Formats: sequence, C-alpha cells, structure tokens
Amino acid sequence: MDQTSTTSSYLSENLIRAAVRSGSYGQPAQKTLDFLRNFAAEMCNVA
Amino acid sequence: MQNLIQLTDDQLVALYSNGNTKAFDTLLSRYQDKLYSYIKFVVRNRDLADDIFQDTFVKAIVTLQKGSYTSTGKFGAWLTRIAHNLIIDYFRQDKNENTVSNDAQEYDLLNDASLAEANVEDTMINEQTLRDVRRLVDALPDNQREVVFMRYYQDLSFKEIADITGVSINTALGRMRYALINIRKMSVDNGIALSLAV
Repeated sequence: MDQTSTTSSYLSENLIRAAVRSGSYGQPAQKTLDFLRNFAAEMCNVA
Repeated sequence: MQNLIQLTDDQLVALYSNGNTKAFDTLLSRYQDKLYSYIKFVVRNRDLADDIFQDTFVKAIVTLQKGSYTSTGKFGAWLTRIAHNLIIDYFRQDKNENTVSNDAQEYDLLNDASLAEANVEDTMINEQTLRDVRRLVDALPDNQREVVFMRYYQDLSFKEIADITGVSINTALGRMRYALINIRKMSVDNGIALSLAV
C-alpha cells in the first residue's frame, strides 16, 4: 500500500466520523418519556 | 433538581432505589437523547426506536427497583447493553457481515491514533458529501453500523463496544474493519469521493 492510499484511508475514516456525528437522529416521543416517568414512580410505590 | 444534576449516575441510582423519583427523572434526562440516537441509528425506524427505548428503560427501572443493579460507574454502558440485547431480539436473523471478503483489501485503518483522532470540527466539509457518506453508513449490515455508531458517535473504546455487544474485542475490531472496507467499496461503486473538502 503506497503512501497516497494510506492517507486516503485515514481521511476517509475522519470523514465517516464527521458524517455520523452530523446526522440527526431525533428524540424519543414525549408520550414515551411521560410513560417512563409515571412507570418509574409507580414502581417506587410498589417497592 | 439542580443538585441532582450534579450527582453521579450511581448516586442517582441509589436515590431512586430509595424512592426518589426525581433522581430517575434526572437519569432519564441525562441519557434519553444519547440512548435514543443509538437505537434509532441501528433500527432506522422511529416507531420501533421508541418501542425499544421504552422497553430498555422499563427493564432498567424494574432491575433498579429489585435491587439487582450492581453499581459499576458505567450506567450508560449498561443501558446501551440492554438496548442492544432488545435490538437483537427484534432482529434475530444473523445478517452476513462479510459483504466484502476479508482478504479483498488490506487497509490498516485502525492503528494510527493521531490521524484517526484528528479534529475534523474545524474542517470545511461539503454537506452533500456528508449526506452521501451517511447513506453509505446506513447501507451497512446492522452489526457493522452499530459498531460505527458506538465508535464515532458515542466515542466508546473497542473494549466497551465488545462488552456491550457481547463479542470479543477482535470481533468488534473486525466489524469496524469490514464496515470501513464496505464503505470504501460502496463509495467507489457509487462514485462518491471520500475526501475532505479544502
């Protein structure tokens, strides 16, 4: 493997890292968060 | 809540186990985005991601209230491991991770920390290229895409990735290696330049 292809490989990895980090993956639904808070509180009461 | 934010995960776990629901709310707030991003990245479906996210925390809540959780200072990794196992349950079929043969190309992509850790934040990068690369990553087999996300988005070590996904470090490294090879192959096949804009 020559130096050119080595450099290209490393740049590619950095670009993949940047691409993954720049993505938007959203957030959990509010109803899901509300359910979990209620469930956690109920489990406290049960225990 | 102000004070709770400053507590460690294990301190919050202890408080919640003793009935402090605000402590749980703090843990949920601390990890909801990171965990959801991981799940959504892997399953690529919002409804399914919500279901798995909810099931992950339900399992965590039950475990905490049963007193079965062992504090190790790695609460986030523990949550991710639960999510990983639930994802595996949903996608039980073992997809072939070797889209490209092991000996097709011999790139040594993982052994130069100085270049791998180079700061790309300050580098001008073409947005279209980033979108193209994300599409390539999205096309990877599930287990390779998962490792890429854990490594590049969550900044986990390969030891942590191996622990969470229940494989050896060599397997985790191998999946990353195949992922990079596959991305490079797909970029060539689709005429996408894997280079930083200057």
